[in-house]
Amino acid sequence: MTASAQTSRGLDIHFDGVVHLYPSAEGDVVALRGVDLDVGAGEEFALLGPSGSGKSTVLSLLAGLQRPSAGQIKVGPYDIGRLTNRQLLRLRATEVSLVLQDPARNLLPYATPTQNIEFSQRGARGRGKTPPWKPQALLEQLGMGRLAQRTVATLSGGEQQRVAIASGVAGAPRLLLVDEPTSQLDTASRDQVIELLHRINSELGATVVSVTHDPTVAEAMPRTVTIRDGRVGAEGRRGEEYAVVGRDGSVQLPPDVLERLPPGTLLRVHRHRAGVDLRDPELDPHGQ
Amino acid sequence: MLGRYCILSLTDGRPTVRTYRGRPYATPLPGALWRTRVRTCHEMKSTSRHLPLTLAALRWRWATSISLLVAATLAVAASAAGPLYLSTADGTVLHAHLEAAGASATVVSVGDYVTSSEAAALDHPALALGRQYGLSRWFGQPVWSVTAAMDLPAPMPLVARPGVCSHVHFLVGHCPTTAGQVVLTSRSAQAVGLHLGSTVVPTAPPGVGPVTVVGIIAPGNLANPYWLGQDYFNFGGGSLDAAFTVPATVASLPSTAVAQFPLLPSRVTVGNVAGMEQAVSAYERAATEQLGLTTGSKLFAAVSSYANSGSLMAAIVLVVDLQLVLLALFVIFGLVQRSAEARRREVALAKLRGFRLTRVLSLGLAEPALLTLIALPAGLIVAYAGMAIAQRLALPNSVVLLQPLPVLAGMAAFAGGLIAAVVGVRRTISSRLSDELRAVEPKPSGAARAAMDGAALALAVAGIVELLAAGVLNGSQPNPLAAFAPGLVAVAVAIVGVRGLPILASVVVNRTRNSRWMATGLAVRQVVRRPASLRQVTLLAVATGLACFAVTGWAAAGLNRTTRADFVLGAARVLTVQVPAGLNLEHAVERADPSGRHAMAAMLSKTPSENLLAVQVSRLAHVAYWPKDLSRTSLPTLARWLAPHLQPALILTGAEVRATITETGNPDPPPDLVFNVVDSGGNPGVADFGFLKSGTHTYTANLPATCTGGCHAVDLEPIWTASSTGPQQVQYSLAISSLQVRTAGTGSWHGVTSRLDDPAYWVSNGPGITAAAVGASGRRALLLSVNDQAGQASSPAVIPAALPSTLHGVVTQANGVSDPAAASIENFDGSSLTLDVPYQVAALPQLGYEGFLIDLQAALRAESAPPSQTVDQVWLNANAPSSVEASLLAQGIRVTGVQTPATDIQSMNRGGLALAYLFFLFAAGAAAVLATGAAVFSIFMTSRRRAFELAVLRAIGLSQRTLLRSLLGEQLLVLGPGVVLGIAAGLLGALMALPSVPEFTSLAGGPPVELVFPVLPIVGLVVALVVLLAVAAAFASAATLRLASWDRLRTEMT
Repeated sequence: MTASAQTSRGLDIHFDGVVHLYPSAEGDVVALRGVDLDVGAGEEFALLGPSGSGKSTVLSLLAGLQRPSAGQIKVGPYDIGRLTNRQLLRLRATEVSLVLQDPARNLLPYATPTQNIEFSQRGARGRGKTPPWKPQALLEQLGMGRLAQRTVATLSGGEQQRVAIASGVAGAPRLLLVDEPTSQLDTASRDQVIELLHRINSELGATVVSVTHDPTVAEAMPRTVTIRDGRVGAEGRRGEEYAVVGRDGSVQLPPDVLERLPPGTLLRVHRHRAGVDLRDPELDPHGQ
Repeated sequence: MLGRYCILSLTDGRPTVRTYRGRPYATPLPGALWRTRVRTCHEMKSTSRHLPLTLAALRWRWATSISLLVAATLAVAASAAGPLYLSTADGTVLHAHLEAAGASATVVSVGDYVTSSEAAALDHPALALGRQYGLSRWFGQPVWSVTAAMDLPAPMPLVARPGVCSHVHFLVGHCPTTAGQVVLTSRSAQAVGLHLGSTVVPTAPPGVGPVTVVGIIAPGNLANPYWLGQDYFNFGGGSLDAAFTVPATVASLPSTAVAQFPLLPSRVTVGNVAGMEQAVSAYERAATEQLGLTTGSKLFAAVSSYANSGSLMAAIVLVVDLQLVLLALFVIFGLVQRSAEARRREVALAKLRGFRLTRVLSLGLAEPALLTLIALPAGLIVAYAGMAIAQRLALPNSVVLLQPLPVLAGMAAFAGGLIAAVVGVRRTISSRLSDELRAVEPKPSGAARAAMDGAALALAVAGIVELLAAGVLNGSQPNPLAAFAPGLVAVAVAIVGVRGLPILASVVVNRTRNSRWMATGLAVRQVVRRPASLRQVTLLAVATGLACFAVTGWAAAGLNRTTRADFVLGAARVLTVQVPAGLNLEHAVERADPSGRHAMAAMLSKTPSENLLAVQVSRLAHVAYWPKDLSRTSLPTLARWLAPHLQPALILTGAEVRATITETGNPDPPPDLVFNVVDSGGNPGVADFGFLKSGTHTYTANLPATCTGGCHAVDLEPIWTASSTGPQQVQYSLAISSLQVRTAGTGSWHGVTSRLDDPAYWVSNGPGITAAAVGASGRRALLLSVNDQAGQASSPAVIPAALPSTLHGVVTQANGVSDPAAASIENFDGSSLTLDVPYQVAALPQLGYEGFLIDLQAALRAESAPPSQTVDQVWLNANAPSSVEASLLAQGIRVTGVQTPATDIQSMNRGGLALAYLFFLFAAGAAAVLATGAAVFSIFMTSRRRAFELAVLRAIGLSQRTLLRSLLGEQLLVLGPGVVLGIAAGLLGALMALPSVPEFTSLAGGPPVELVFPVLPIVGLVVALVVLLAVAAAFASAATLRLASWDRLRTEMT
């Protein structure tokens, strides 16, 4: 029995006008300002964006750690905003798994990878879901069999990150969320982690969402979504980047374009068969 | 094992429980039942998987695990120690009381007025009855004695008592073996003029045959348990010691037969003492009802005294034990809560992985629960072992038994630990997961903290008010709120201190800004940045406060016992002496200690109606213990008042006295002139010059034999008796010009300082006689003008002014004297004495709260008869050279007993009060260890977090030395105030609570005591605590710094 044979298809994701506020003493901080996003089941993509843009908020909302202030998030059949705490716990135990940025936050440092995977599976087992693989088999399948009996604290940073990701999929989730999987890793470790994420997506069938700053990771992903200032600013597919028209018709421009067209610039909209051009009247006074 | 316990399988695609808790189950189970079973089985399997992980986690956090285990063990031990100590010390108190009471007070006696034949019969049924009621469990074989009264010719008890000859010392002769043989004490034999081999027919009772003295013995020592309190050697005051014989001698005499059951204290335990009381009561009742015997025992009083002492001990122990338990709970609560918090990330991870809340809770509880579970038996074992050591060192005659109460107390600490763990985990569970994952430290609500502080302060105020209003004890029961007050005071002081410390630290922060004091600046900022670390101050302050309170109580109580023992006895050594006839004790002491600084003669009389102590007042200040607070008047003032302002006595020392007397007036019949004298033993005597002749003649009179040691003249009395036919009144004068004594019939005459030329020295006892000075034969003489008449109540006489009518004295406040200027008391000889007692004292040595103190010389001079029921003593101070005692012995004084305060202290140290305060010392040690353990634990808990920060500081170039100093400073900023606040709180608590604890409120017979802070023990405690904490801080700082490696910057594992 292989792992893939046991895995059901991944969950699709739909963000519909999602707004999220963080309350603070100085006034609420708007983290997300109407995010619309659709991710197909079994898709693998990366969330990009500068620090503070809201991508980690997207991840925590997907994991059900928080509920959106407005809008709707659907993960497969589940409406995150309408689930009770108990249901969110069940969701995390059986369907959605989050791997946090620091591997130490995902692992028991005194336990072996095998024990850590067993530990992660307890949530699913407690909900009556029997994970389709044994810890050793999972580690073998993900190419970490030789690490199985070593204590986590003795592993390198890259090994720990891979074990953390393995723990994340231990309960056979249909959606795997990974926050900065390659931070603090060397190139070789980074490549191994990327390879691991691909294998999880392809062999286990889970939808994989990675938040990353790492351009290498972004390049390795078939799809990227860039969050800027709380909105979906751009999307890349197979190496090509696209601007995204928001629900209100707004378009987030890439930073290099913004340098040329600073806020307040008047643009002429030029329609043609292939689409629309935005032109600066000063540079193109005749609209040619 | 678990597989046998719980087996799951699939039947037709449905999970089925094959066995559950070892029992087979029919399959498949119906409905929802199998779901419950399946879940339970899952949880059991989960538990089996939990354990290795929990053990690995404990190993991973070994330092904190060991710290928690040690601290929890100590907390459980401390909780169990109080009840365990009480149950153990109870045995010591019981035996101390039984031993202090002595054999005489613990014996059970049954007896009746019977003939000897009846006495023989008495033995059997009394014994059988004793067996029936199980007395042999606690009592030895009964000793029976038959006592008859016999005059030989003076009244003397005649006693037949088995085994008597092996308990007396034979001076000469042998034990009586047949009827009619008796043994006498040497002094009784001398008093009745009998000797070895004498045969005499008793004058009473009539019809008794002759008895023969076959042995002369020394008086027995009544302290020997054999005598069981029977006072057979009551010589003096007209009484003679008993004579001993065989039963056949008293066979035909009316007698009193008594069977005595001697208590065997070693067989009495705390557990069976109640049974003993019941058995004795039942036996006595049966002996009275079935055998018609009279019964008597002071045993119940001794047991009652033990019970009172035991309950007092329990009440006092509870005063400190409640606080120790409170501290233990406080410590265990804090430690376990922090330990639970240390698993925040693991708990958060469990929540992230969607664990059920019950599993999250069990995950958070696993480590602290396991450690506290181990700590429960470990703590009980530690408490037991500690008590076993204490039992060997300080609790003789006791048994350490782990009874239910100590176990329950230990379980209370365990329960406190579990509750703390639940609270700690609950806080983690209830916090937002997003915060946990961002490692945001939970900030306690300011309002909640203020409310808790306010509640604690209010409770402390209530405790203080209750304490000041009602005291620690309500009767013999502890007053709970007041008993907690010292601990609450410590909490209150700590709260105030902890609130003030950040303010103080912020001042230092400003001062160290831009200064070179890098280490200090870092340390202070660390404290200001994390005020939560200051909660350690509260714990340390409470622990230190308790330690200080306990040390103060223990040391002050010990000091009080020493003061009491010193005062009650009166001096460093008190010799009970027998003074041979003719020897004046005062003079003997003056010869033994001419300096007057080491020894003092004293005479003591304690009767139910009156207590009287007479001492050589001039030596009182040098020899006696006299606490300053005994009276408002200083000792020198009292001594000046007590010092006899007497004219010198007219002492006649020798065998004969002669006087030159000129009689004029030619009385008919002639008067008989006598000197009434009293020897040094108080025995009156007469020196009779015979009938006087007209003209000048020298008359010689024999002095009583005891006057070789000196007799003082009581009066000079011309006795004239009118003849039946002659005149009934006569006037004449006597001029006495010379008074001389000599020691033997052939010795030379020596003049006596008689003040014959000083008429003021001679005071008439009535109107029939006057004294004047007159010249006679070229010398001045005493002229007595006598106008005597027949039928007077007493003859006219002149009395030396050496005998005042009113003596100066000091009285105790409790004695109650209606007229201080003329208090009437009974002198040692039974005569009436008038005292002027303007000064009062709280208590008197040897007498306690009721009694009079007078000068010995004055008391003896006022005697006209031998003293009765008195004790002669010589008091020696601590610096008295051995030559003093040797000199006394050389003068023929026999020392029959030696008392020192150490004896009394030893006795008191085994009493309930002392043992209660001994527990204070234990509590102090436990509190100090708990404080240190908690501090070490707290340091370890923060070491990993601090290590990361320190690694950063090292990375930016701070030297290791600076960081070490900063760490040390940080620890000291937390630990130092804890110790300082704790000491202040402890002293404050002691000042408020201890004065109402019995050791300080009542000391039977002792001087008034007040709380004196024992400086040395408190300083010792502070030093010990500072050293302990400094070592702990240095060790922890060094260990933390070692963790601050480069690697820590790369990855922080927990």
